[in-house]
Amino acid sequence: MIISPPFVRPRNAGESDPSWVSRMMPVDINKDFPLNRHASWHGGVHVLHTDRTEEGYDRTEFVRAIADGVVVSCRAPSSTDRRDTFPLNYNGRTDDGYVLLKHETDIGESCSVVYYSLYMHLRERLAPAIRDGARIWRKDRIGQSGTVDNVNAFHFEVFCDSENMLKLTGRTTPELDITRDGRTDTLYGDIHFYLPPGTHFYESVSDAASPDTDRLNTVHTTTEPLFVSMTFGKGDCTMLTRRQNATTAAWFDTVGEPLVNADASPADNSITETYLKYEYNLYRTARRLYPQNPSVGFELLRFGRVISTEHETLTPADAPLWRTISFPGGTGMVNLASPDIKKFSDADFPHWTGWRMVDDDTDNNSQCNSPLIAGLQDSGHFSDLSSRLVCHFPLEWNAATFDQRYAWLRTGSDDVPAMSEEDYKRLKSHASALCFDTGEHGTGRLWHFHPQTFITHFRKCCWLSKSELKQLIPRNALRTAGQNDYRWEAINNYRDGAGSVPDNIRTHMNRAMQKYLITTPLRIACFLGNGIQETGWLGSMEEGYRYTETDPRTRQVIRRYNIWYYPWYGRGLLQLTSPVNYFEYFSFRGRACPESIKNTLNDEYTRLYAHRLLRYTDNHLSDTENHVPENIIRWRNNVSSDLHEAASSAGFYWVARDMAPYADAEHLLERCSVTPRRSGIKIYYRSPAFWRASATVNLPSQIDNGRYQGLNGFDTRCCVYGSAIAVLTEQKFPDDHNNPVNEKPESDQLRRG
Amino acid sequence: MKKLLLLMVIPFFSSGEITPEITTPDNFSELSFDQLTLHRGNYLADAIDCKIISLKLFHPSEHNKYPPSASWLCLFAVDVISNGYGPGQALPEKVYLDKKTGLWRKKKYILNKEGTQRTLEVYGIKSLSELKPLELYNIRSINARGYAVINRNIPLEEKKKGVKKKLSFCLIQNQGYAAFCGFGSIINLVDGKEVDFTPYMLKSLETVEMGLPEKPMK
Repeated sequence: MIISPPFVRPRNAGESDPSWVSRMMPVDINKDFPLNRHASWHGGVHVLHTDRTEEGYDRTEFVRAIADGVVVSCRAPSSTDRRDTFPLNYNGRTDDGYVLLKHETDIGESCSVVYYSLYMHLRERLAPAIRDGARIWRKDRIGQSGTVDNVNAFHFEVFCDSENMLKLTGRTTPELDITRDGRTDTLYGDIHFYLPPGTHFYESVSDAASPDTDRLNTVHTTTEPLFVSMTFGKGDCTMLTRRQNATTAAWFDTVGEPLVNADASPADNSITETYLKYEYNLYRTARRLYPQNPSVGFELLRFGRVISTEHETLTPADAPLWRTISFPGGTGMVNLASPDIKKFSDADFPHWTGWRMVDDDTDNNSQCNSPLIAGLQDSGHFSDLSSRLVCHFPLEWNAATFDQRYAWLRTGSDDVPAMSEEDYKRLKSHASALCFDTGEHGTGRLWHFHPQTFITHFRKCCWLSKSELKQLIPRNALRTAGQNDYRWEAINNYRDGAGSVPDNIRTHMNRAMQKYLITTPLRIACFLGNGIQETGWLGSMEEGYRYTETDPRTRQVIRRYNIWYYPWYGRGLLQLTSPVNYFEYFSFRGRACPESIKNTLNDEYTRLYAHRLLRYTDNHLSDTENHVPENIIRWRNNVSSDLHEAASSAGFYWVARDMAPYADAEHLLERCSVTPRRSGIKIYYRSPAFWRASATVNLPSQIDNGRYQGLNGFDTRCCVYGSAIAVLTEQKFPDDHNNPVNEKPESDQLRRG
Repeated sequence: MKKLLLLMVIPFFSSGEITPEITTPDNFSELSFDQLTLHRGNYLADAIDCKIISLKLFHPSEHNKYPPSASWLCLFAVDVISNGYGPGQALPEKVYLDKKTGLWRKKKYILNKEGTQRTLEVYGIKSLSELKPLELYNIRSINARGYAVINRNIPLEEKKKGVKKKLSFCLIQNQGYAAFCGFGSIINLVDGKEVDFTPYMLKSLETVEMGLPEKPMK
């Protein structure tokens, strides 16, 4: 799922993602979610807009699609004359242009979802591409923010049906079931732990690899439930404890200060950039604490539990996860791996972070009669929690259900005086003028989200759907055939139909990205910018290992032979190459290999690497010469033949070679212009951050050498990178004057349609 | 074994050498150092298994903590020799190994029109004459030899982050296939004051010992 706010202005330096999303959507407090100022249901928010360019707004700023989707229906805005007169002008001038989009995407394994976004009160004219049934891409222009009740704003609404509510949030009950672990089909964002009463906190733990508590000094035993959230980001790990408020059950207070990198160990590394950065060192911590199977230990550190149980077994089964946690009055060590402690993620919409599903107003009118909301209002916490309420009530845009929704106004309520028939008719005329054919959604109730919170929340879910993945494959690849000899080659062989490699590997790839924290757009751009190129557009998980030698004069093939490091050639999504790397991966997966065989092969590889002339004439890397056991051969071959292994080995490469710190740096895009043979000028994009992330795996000697040209296929990798930046981020591309103004990469590279 | 015993009794500094010689600051002390032991996992990148590497990181005696600034790499010696220093740095100079003498040397070359333009853009300068020459040192450590290059030409983007002077080095293990390399900014802010760590780092490189036996990570 890839999603963004309806305005995409540049970020401020150092601005966090939630802050940026919030800044893109300033909300009219009189037209907030889920209630308007008359305490009636309001299905969305009014996003304010101004033409003041000094505040960062373009003079004519377009509202944009928040995600890829299809236009369900739309209405071109009426003229300004009609806007200014009744029935559109009821409480003030009101534009009536609208666009309703349907979005289909994936948020997890076998977890396809459908949701809708509605943009109402658009002015002047809709974007030319907007027509019923049209396919729209994220960030595409929809129309212009108009006027509602004389205020420069548009109504923005996000909703779904009950079937998709269950898929999106996992429940329709107000609170999360904390008697069992959370969902694993989708899992993203923060990891949460429920610590039941009776949980012991220990002063210190001398052996972090042992679950034994016999000799530990207990400093605290809980008498109330505690909830701990674990956040990974930019190399850090933050632990935050919450407990239920003593007077308001729906409110959770934080306990102590957030603990940042409290469990980072100097034993894990001494690299300046990543020293004592808990997240950046997870791989090394996993190797240190879980030497029998670091890969499954990595899952424990990352998720608090083992997720890929069909591929991994925790050894020993009671291996602990000791973390420093705040309790009321202090901090102590808790074994979070204990089965008594339940584990969740943001995908479970935990109620201790404010999420509550509101389904207790069943009368189908527009008046909010929810006891849950009434309780929040009474406690004084409604405004704190309103943006995280997901509410079930009717859509307000069906003229046929107007009386069902608003008849109560004729008699009034405790807060609203009875409305005269004349006033009621005027209101109905106004509302009907804004209504549209709501089709299947016109009757019954729908689940409504606060749009800003929905977008902020799901920006943490980086699971790529089939359509999203496809867009990362550029339409053309730049290939360097020789010095200053470039070729611009159309990529016509991408096939992602059922049974294809791209279709089959997608789930494994998403799972690997989830596990190895390749969970920001820029990290994904670096990971797949390399992986998609190395596998020939996800076509093959194996390096082509037949080599040919040609006569430089006649160009005739004079000899064919295998690559010199055969059979330890590249396999997997980020191609694992050489016995050194294979054995490191096997060890990470907890697969024991005889030291003698490992050392012999590593030494032979090193010898051949150093002596180019001996590589084919005195090569002793073969399986038969080294008596390589059948299980090692099978593990090696599985790295390409088993797509779980292909993705898992790439994730291993990502963490073992520290790609994340480079991917997290600022990506300063450089516009590169080349003139390939028989083509006009073509443009591709690179950045020092992408260079470094790529070089750390492929050409470590040149990490600090951004102008180096020798990395195999780097220009081609950059083509994927450019598409990934366009599809996954909101970053703009520099033009030929180096101004970041282009929304899409030049040279028609996006694969859409 | 006799040879080994002999090496063990030789005073520490006799095994290292910097060419050309450098003048150490007045406050330089052989006793002011942090012992650094690098194992697999401590490297920014490792193309080959360097096993354990140890070195003493010298620091000014008045500052009890050396500001860690270098990124360490463990690379194939053959790649280090093939790459040298310079290509890709957009400079009209490079450093290469003279295989006859075993010494690293500087060589000038002429940038073409495109290369010149790129250099001007990378460094944010108007003329190539604004570039400062590279400073090259040949280093001999306890069991490795190689180069250290001081580069005062800082790409614009790094300049904005306050980088003023960079050091890059590569030491190739004697009779081995591995090379220990590193790079980083060499002028650091210590207690609000700029300290040039160049002589301390060069002296530190003399103490590099490579290929020590592996120890468990725990």
